[in-house]
Amino acid sequence: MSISLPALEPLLPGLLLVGVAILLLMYEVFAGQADRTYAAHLAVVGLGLSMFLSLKAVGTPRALLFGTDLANAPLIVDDFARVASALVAAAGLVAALLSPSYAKNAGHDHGEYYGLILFAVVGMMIMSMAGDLMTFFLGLETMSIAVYALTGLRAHDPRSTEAALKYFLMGAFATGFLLFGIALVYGATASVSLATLATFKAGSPLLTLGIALILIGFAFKVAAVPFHMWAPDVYEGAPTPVTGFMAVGVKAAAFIALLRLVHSGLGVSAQTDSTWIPILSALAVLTILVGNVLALVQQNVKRMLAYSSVSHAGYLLIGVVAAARGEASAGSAIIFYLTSYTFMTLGAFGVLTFLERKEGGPESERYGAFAGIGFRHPALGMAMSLFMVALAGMPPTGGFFGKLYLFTAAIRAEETWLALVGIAGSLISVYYYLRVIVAFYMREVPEPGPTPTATRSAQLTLGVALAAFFVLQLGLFPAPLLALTKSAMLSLGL
Amino acid sequence: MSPAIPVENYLYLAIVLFSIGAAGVLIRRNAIVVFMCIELMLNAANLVLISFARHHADPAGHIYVLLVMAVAAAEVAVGLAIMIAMFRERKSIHVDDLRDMHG
Repeated sequence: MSISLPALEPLLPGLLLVGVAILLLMYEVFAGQADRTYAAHLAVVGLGLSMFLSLKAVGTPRALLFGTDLANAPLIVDDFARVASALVAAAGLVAALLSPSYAKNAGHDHGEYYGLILFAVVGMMIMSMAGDLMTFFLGLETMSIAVYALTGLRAHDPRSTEAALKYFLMGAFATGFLLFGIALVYGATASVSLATLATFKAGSPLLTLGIALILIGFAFKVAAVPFHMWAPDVYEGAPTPVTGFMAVGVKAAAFIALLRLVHSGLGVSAQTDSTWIPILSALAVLTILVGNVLALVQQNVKRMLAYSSVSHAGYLLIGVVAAARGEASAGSAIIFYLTSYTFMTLGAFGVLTFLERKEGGPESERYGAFAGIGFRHPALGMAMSLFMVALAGMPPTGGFFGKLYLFTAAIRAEETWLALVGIAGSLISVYYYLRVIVAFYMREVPEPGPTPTATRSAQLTLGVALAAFFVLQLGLFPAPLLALTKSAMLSLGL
Repeated sequence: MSPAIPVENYLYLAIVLFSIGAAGVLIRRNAIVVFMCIELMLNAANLVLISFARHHADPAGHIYVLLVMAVAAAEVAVGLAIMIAMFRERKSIHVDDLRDMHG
């Protein structure tokens, strides 16, 4: 088998990022003490171009790489993969925009940082294209290893190294489960291809155990309860822009891969032996309730956002249940939700980056530390209010339509009770999201209290503005993205 | 291949190895030992892959094992670097000492 260059064309968005990442790493050798803002700019241009290439190819036929049919092609570049690639590239782009001023503030201005973000995005793209479980595993690890390093980048901050070690050990533990599950599936079906997996109707014990272990691995990665213990510590300790990137990118990639899995192998076995639906439903309910209740009691805004991201994983799991039931609109609802979630969460972490103090530390992340910010920095206050309202799922934001489509899909799949749990969870979440707005606008400024030094930079402003624009845009004109997600799901054969 | 050992035996051995590894992760407190236990879990998966590759007469399984080894090596590189950073900060790599953050 020879590989000619034109055959690699569908992979161009990913290859481009690999090229830019290697360039950044190589240049780091010569860069000396220089300012690394150029690295951020290069990464942003690369990610933007990659996003554009992915979106431009939407609508063209499916491309199979290194194989001839679905059963033996490790990489499947269809509209689903293209839309997902554009989404994770957008997440990386906003995260890269948030980074330069944070990095300078925290004194860890390295060019490798942006290289690692690019490698993580490439891993996420591979996850969305994976036609077999082994390719999926390689994509997952490409992403994870880069993110472990990103988490621990503030090597002189005990919170950052603690977060990195916790994330690393829990992530590697989850990888162990996932890989053992893949090995068992290989044993049961003599193949790791998702298309072959779909032809196995009755689950042998080996296959069932394998899929169960793979699901445990997934649950760890998306921080679903009861596999969420690592998330709050890791989110709190990681550098703020990395936390945002992790919360949206890793979650989006994992759910997108899970969606492909559900629409091939798992979906069929779910419809025939229906073991998985109750398990996934229980996971969704637990995740929503525990995530929301624990978010209520947090005093640290970064930790609150960590638990809220756990609960968002729960809402998305409702969509996965509906998709496993064969509901066609569930998949596009999940992609829509992930897109709006990406922008509102990165926006919220962007505002936190703005307010980060030079000395860092947990004190600057408490609700009280934000007293009066809404008046001193009106634009920042408005942006944060918008993101909180969006996270709570209120109109006119993308968060509202995300929840609307997701819960409608659940009701159509005759899982009304799951939709009700989701709505109940959203109602609880209104309390702690509004609490941030209250802190911003309605709390007395402690005198002579420490005033957060808003770190300003053009990139950071642009990042938060982009996030705010898309959150509003998706709330006012959801139709274009919905059409895009529908064509993505059509390419999966639905 | 002399009187073949049935593939089930390899599977049982792998499950035992995997369980020892998973239990070790939960019980041991030294980060390096925890990481060794995780490696044990990965190697259990490798054993399953290689024995079923033989069983199914499918060469792809052998290649998967090589891929897993490469990934595990990359993980070691990053993991040990994180542990060194942690040791420099706290002079300890006990996971029980990881409690600056909680709640």
